[in-house]
Amino acid sequence: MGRKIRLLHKTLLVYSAGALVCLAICMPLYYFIVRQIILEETDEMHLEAKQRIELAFTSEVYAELEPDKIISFLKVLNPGIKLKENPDQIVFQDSFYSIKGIELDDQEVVPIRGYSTGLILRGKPWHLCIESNLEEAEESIEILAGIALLFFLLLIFALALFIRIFSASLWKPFYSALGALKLFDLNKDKSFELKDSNILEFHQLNTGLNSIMKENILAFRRQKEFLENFAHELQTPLAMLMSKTDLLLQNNKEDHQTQKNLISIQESISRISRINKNLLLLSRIEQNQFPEKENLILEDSMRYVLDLTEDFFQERECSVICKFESKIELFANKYLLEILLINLFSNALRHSEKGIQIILETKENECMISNPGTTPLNKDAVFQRFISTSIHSPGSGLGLAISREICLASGWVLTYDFRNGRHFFTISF
Amino acid sequence: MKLLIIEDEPDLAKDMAQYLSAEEYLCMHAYTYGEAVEKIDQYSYDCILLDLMLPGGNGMQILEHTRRQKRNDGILIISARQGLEDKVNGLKQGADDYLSKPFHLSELSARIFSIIRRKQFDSGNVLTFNEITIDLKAKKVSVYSKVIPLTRKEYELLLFFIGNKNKVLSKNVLAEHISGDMADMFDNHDFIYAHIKNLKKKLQDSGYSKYLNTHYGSGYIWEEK
Repeated sequence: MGRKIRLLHKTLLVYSAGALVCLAICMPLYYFIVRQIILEETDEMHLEAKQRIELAFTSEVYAELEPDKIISFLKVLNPGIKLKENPDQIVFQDSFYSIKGIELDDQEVVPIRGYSTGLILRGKPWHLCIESNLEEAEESIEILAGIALLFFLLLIFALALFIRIFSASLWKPFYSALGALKLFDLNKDKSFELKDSNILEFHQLNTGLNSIMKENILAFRRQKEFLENFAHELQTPLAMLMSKTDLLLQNNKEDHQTQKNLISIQESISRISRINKNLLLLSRIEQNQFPEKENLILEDSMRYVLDLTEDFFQERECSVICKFESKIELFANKYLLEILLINLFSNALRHSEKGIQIILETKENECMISNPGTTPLNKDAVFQRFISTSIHSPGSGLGLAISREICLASGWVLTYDFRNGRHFFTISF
Repeated sequence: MKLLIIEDEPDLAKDMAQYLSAEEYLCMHAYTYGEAVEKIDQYSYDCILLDLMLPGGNGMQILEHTRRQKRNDGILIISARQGLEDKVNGLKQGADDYLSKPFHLSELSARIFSIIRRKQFDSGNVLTFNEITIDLKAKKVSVYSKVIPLTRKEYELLLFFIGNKNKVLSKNVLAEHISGDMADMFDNHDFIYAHIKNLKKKLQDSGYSKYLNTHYGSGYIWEEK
């Protein structure tokens, strides 16, 4: 999926785009309508002028005056009037027209609206032509359009502000639910409760989420309890199996085949009890049953664990290179720290070919354990229970889950990375 | 030597007794809290194996009970609870050792062996097995009075063998004993061969009577001829 956009930005974008389309349609329409109105007004004015001319020629007051005089009178009122005799009796139809003309004062091209018609005045045919300069009207249209655009931009700005303020507060329950979901950690948090909202949809969303989470937390807890009880219940039967096998082994000393079988059984029982022990350990870490903490120096613990694991390193002919660059002091549970290191060391060892190099490094506040590998592990699955990360690993599949749990309980971060052909497990303290 | 096994699982208690009887221990049983207190008040024992979860009461109270009487019985807690606190508390209350279920009978036997030796040889802490002498305090082993240098692991293996005389011990059991908590992390226990080979060689060089033998290639046995 491509880039993600915030809900509020999306709203703003859609609104703005809509407004833009509106503007694109309305502005020409607006211009056209206003222009049309002005033309109609001008035409009406011309018709009125024609009526005034007819009135002047028929009026008794002007009866004595020559037509030229009357025309010059009328021209004072309306300089665009041209009235000429039409001795050839050409038929002039009523017509309105728009042309471009040149203004005499400053030689500018200006829009002109004209009216041309034929008249019979005092028994003679005349040709009347009235023209008006529309330059100022056109300018007015431009100013009006500018003002409209300004108002539109103001509207968009107000809309953005509105979305920011009102929508943000409107969507607040949604965002707080989102935040709570993001922060929620099934391993750490015991409960999940979203505040109720007086908006119906949010109320429904929150109630839905609350009940889903409640069920999940409960299921998770039940599963953990089940595992713990299961592991507990297994201990006594395992102890029985183990002691019976031990006894049988002693009682059948001379039977070679039985001895071999019993030793295999013994090994399997040992393995089950190891898994069982690790499961119990896991649940006890999860329940914070290791509260005692003390000041520790990481390097000391690492050296101690190295000493403990010496046999296993030798057996696999692995060499260990220590690059301790920084002295990391911790306030932690000693037992858990050792278990964590043992698990990470044994993990590195278990998934390696014979004779490889394992590198232990400390740098600033990080500790890295790396071993060579060919393919990166699945980052999501690597810390999950019972997911064996390698085909030739005989592990119980709990080691890394335990490591992660210890880090969680101690407030550290355990990450996996594959770089330059090596698996890196890094603890950030 | 007398042992009291306080364990509510009769089958398990019987198995323990059977294994331990071969080591010249006289085993008594108590299945409930009441029974345990009664038996403790009647006799004294070299070692008491104490299960913490008992019908009728908590094993910890039995521990306090014996400590109040200022008795010198060795106490080994056997518990299905793997809590570290249980272990720490138990040891604080005066228990000598702690073993969590499930365990190998050979491990149990070795632990009892070392508890009793520690209690018995308070004066010198020296354990003698025919020509072999072990100074438990200094952790020094000598054969025919000649000190032989053993590594920590070889020393622990030797004690484990002597604590499980005439018993077949698989490499798995030996490895678990040597690596303690570490054994939980590894499944391959082949490294134990090297340690046993070294131990055997050192003992042989000193001229001991070859007690330590391979048994059908599947395990090891410390045979007292």
